[in-house]
Amino acid sequence: MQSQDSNTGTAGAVKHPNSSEWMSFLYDECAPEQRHELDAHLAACPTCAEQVKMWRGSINTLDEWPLPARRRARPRWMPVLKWAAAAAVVLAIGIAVGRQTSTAQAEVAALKSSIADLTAAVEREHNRNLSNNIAVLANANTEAMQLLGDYARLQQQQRAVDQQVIKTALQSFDLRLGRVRSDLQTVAVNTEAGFEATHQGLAQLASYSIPAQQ
Amino acid sequence: MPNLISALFSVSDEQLMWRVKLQDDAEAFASLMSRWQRPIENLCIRMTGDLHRAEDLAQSAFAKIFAKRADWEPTGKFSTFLWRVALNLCHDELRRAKRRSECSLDALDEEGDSQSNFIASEDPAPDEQADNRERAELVRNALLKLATHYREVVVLRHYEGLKFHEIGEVLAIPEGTVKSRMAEALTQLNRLLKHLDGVRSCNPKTQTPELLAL
Repeated sequence: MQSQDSNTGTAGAVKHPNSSEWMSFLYDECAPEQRHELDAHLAACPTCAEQVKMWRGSINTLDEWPLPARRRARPRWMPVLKWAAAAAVVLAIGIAVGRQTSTAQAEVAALKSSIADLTAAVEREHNRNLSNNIAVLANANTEAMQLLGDYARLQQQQRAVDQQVIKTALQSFDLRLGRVRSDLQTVAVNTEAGFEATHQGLAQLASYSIPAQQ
Repeated sequence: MPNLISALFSVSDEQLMWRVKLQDDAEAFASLMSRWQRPIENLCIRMTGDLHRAEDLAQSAFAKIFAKRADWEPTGKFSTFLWRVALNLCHDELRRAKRRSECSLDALDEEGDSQSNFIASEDPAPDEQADNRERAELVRNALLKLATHYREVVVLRHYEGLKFHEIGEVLAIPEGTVKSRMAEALTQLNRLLKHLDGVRSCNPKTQTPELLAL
């Protein structure tokens, strides 16, 4: 094998890349940094440049053998296309024959007249529909206004009832508050009287002395 | 973007093969065939140099895959499995052909003539067309003269576009060995092409001697 393997390793101070590295290089499978190194080596080393040139030549030559041309399978939509084309041809012939055999002017005039009638009828229908729709809309609007008035009145009544309920509740609360206050005053008075009695008892206890024994 | 979307929603080869294995899903197998038939045929054409034989081999490869669907284990890529089966069939065919002496140079030349009828061309001028055909024939003959273990690496890397590590997986050899074989194959091709070119220009009728011990 007279490939680059014979140059692998150091030859003097130069280390040549081996054939595996060159294959990765030629088929673009090496990392970018390795590619830079190999590019640099290629620029500086005539031996490797010669070898790589030879390999490149072989690689380029391989592309000169193209694949054989094979018959293509007919697509399934071909019959559909065929029938569509046939239908188009028949249609075209029909139109052409029709044009040749018709009394064109009279037909066109009749056609125009019928189109005008049709347009007028459509317009009348459209206007009638429009006025109907407007009336329906006005009725709906009146009804909506009436409903809104009813709703506002109901709301007002409801508010008055609510206010009455709140007022009654507040009055009841005031009453209970007054009772609680009076109870608290009674408790305070009683407590004060209790404190007073206790104070006196303690004073008596403090002034008590044991009588001397005979 | 459409590629990305189709990649996201497309079913993988392995999923399809899994369906074939578990449910004998004929539709899934048809999908696999539509994806892979052309690449496998191309591989067989490059390996055998013969269009019709290649088509038969590709059919056999798929038949074998279907017959062995129960043995398939989804531990690796389906494509690796398929390449391997197809390559083994090519090897068997080449061995049989060698035994029948179909690989003699006469046979090759005859096949070359028949094969050249299938060579695709972009309809250049007649002179240029003839020259292209000659070059294609030259490259084809040179490639067919390579030892099978060199040829398969060239075909898988150069024509089928597999990465070196993928070829290593298909052939069950280290990536470094694949690259070494590729380098050696390119070196031999260069020599063969030079020789064949020289022989052709001196005497177009002269048979090409075997240059290399395969």
